[in-house]
Amino acid sequence: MMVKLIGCIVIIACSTSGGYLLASGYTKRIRELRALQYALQCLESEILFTLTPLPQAVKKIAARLDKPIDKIFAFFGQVLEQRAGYTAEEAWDMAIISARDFLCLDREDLDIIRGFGKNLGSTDRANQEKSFKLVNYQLQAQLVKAEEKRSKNEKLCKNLGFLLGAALVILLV
Amino acid sequence: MDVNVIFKIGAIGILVAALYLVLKNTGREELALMAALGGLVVVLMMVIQMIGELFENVRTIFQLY
Repeated sequence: MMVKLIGCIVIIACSTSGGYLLASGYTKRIRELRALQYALQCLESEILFTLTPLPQAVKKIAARLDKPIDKIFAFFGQVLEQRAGYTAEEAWDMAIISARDFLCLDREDLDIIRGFGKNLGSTDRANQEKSFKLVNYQLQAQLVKAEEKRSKNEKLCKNLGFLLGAALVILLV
Repeated sequence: MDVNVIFKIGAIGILVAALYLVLKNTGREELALMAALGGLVVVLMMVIQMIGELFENVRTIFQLY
């Protein structure tokens, strides 16, 4: 009897926390998108106004950012500083691929920032400004979409985790 | 015959009702319907043996062979 009870509690706890984990992905994605927007704004002002060289600018920004997003910039700065013959676009791609696994961003978001990397450091200042504006606009659209998705799915995931766990327990008892 | 089956079915009923409400409130009517049907199927699987027994008993009592 006791073992059964403990098993039931374990199953419900696992499924509930699984649901919460799934739900937290939606919130995390929004937070990461915001951080990314902020980071790109910082990079924009570094490039357009203070005219810092890209490796230094990126390092400076990485130091200022919060946890998950700063990895992209730190890695990007490292690759640029090694002077291993990669262009900025290749380095940016590598940084995103290395960071992909622990970010909650989905494919669309990653495609947008990868597209941004294509222009990074390859054109003059006016064009850089344009590409910053474009990526900012696109990220804003993604943010709206992510917000919508979150309001639709977050509560559902939380409830669903618990309910499915309870269903499993009832079926097994 | 034990009473546990009745409690079990009641619990499944409550769960399916909650699931239905949650799914419906988040705008997934078709999934809500599927959940309700799934609950029905699960309960039927549980009681089908007993229904068979009941018919068998009725037949033996009224000697309908």
